[in-house]
Amino acid sequence: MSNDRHEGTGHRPTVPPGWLDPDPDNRTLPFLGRNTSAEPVTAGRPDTDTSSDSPPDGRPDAPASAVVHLSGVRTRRGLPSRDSGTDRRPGGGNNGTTVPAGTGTGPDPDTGPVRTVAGNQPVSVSGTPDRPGDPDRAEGAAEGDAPTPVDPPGTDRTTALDVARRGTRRPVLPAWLLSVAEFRAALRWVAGHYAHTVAFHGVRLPVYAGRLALRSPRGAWRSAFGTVRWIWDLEGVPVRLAAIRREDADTYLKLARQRDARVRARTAVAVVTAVGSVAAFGTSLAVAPTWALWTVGALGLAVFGRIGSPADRPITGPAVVAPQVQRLTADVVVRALGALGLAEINKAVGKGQGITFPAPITRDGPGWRADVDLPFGVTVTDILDRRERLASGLRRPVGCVWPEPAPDAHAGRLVLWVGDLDMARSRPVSWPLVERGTTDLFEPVPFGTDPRGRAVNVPLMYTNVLIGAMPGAGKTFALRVLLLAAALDPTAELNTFELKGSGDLQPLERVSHTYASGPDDGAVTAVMDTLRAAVGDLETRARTLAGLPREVCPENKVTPSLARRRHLGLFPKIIAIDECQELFSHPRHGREAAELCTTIIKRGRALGVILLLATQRPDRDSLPTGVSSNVGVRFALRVMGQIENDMILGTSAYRNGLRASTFTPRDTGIGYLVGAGDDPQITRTAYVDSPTASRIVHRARAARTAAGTLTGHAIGDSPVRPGSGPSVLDDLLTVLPAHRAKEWSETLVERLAELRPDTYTGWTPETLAATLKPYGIDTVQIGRRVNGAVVNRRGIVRAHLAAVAAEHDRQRPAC
Amino acid sequence: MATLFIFLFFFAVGYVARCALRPWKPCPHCQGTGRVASRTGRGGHLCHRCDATGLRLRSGRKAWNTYRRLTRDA
Ligand SMILES: [Zn+2]
Repeated sequence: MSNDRHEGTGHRPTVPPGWLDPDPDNRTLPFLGRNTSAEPVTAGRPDTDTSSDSPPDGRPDAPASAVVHLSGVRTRRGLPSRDSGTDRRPGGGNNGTTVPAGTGTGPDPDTGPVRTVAGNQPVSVSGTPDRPGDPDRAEGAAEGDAPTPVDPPGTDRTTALDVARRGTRRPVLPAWLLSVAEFRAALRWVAGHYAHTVAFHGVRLPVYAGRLALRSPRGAWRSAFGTVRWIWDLEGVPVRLAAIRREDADTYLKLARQRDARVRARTAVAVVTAVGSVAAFGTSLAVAPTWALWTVGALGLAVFGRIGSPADRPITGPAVVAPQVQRLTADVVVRALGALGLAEINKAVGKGQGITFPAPITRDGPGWRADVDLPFGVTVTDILDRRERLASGLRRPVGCVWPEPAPDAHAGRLVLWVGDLDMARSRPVSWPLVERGTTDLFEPVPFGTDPRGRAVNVPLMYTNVLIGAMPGAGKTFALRVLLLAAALDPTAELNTFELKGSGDLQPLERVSHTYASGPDDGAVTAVMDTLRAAVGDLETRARTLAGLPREVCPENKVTPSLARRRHLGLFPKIIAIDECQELFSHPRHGREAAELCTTIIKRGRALGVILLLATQRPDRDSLPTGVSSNVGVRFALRVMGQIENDMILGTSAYRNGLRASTFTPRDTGIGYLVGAGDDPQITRTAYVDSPTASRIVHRARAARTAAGTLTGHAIGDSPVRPGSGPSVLDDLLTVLPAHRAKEWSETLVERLAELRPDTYTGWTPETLAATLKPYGIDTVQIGRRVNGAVVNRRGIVRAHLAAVAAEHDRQRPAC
Repeated sequence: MATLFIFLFFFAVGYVARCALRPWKPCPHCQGTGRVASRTGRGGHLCHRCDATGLRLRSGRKAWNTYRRLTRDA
């Protein structure tokens, strides 16, 4: 509702007073009754004097509505304005708080334009004046049709708790206290800072000593002079001179007496101190050890040197030169917003209103954060278009200025983060897994940082990733970070394809189950093979899941424990295709590839098959709609325009202020990340160069070797059935020594679990039998004498095993 | 004649030094007491010339103050 006072003078009363108040003497109040704070809303007359001193009739539940000038309502509803005899002007009732209801075509003109709420509550409205003796009164009061409030009653009755409910809870502990990694990083920084400071000054200690010694005579002189000044009260000289200048003998006398008293007292103090010092010095010369004397001497020298230092030339220089950053103030923000050339803002700023700050401007990470409420009618997207102008207005590099919409608030709430350093220029945060550590793909993996320097993690399991950018924006590097993270999970199977032949993903070849690189059809064929196999695998996986008991697989999707049981074949399967536009626009395979990928994206999520796509040409031909509209995680680095932006980030992303086209060519590795967290966020990819990637892959390969999950291309194979494939046979041969002709499955499973706990823990003799069945190895009854009794159990004959394994070995090179 | 100049010079220097170091002189009206005795010798009243302080600024210092005031404000 409009709360503004209508300034129009000359509004004649539009409401018969009797209508408003059954008791004309009780001059009640143009109240919006629902407003418990009794805020007067006087639509017609600003000088409604009755408002402040007459409470709403003593009824706490007083009228839940105000009533409105009918003609105003009518105008609003498009009804013809009917004049009813009283002076009603169409614009008179602009309060718009209620409309008459239950009146069909509106009230009878003779009864007056206004309806009260039921019960004849004293309500008011546009024009208020009480005109006693209005002829309409009685009739109106008798009428019963009540207007329905336009504003639902009670909307303003919000308590502090209601407000709190809508609010966001600030974290109890800051992020660096909750995350071990962030805490370590913070600790490391603090330790490094102080270590540097100590080293810096330690090296310069001799210089400092020399400087102090050189300056100490001057310090001694200053001290002596200062003492003299103090004793003789020379500070008081100017005051006394002033008294002389004013020929003020009286003041002068007082000052002179004060000076004399001071000089007497201070002389006494000085004499006592001097005598004491000399005595102490003499005693210590005789008593104290030499080193103590030297120490005292050095201290004295230091003190005098310090006193003798000019204020502009301190003894020590700063060990760390902090970059000078200008504080972000509301004035600066308002000035910058006013300089954007937005008419609405300029109008509001000109009136001295409009831009408000719902929260104080605070430090947030290495920068300032300002929450800004833009003037009415201005949206954050208007600002996003003008990021460079905003940066100019703030007098900062563009890379420091990050305006974002506030996702939970209204469209005019701008969250402006101004970094101390240009994001592209500041040193990239190193990837936390560079030196050590493995990942679990069921947890989000480290990917980069946000502008504030906080870690950004990306979930890979149960989702798919689409990365898009124009060439050179850092797309492949972003994909590689994700692939490295996946490589560090030994259970995950990597299928890496790069269709341009740039070799940026080559380090991953050594851990990839399948790998192909190149601009030729060979790579495309390899991708197609893998995609077809993956779609086939989806069926297998779905069947496996369906066959599992409910308690193992409660949600019909792959769980960490299921993924660890390798023989089930439910381990995470990553298929990464860089430059996927080459695939989708392929003349022969494009259409099929699109269908396969769409299938994988739609169905593979729950089954542990994850598709990572990167493209530099996100348009309708190169990125199938089925893919672009179903991907979960999207990362858009710098793109050309709205179409590309929305292809990657999703329809209407551009309209919602996610504009990857605003990145500059220097913003390499910086993009909008959607789907990883609750809200879209600007993210800077962790920088991992090729040598580092190779080192990480080396570690990943070692982990995979240990876990026995190195398969396929990585060990020179072409894919057989992974996991439960030949490696099981090999392992069985390992745990079933040649001198034993056969062994119980039970024993074998135990030994397998010892051999590779990651893979075989949880295996039962039944699992083993099921795994070996496809190889044509059946379990046999094996009787053994245990404690005198013969026990029969199922087991495996080594000869069978060896024969099948040999057959597989023979076939291997042929594949 | 030269003797006279030398004498005057030293007198001037001395007077300037006096004005600088001891700008106040005893009030000539009350001989620095701040009270003026009545003619009868009894009673008396506070000296108006020195506001009962018994101190008056030397003429040289007054002249200096005036000069400063004039040059400063100008
Ligand atoms: Zn006097």
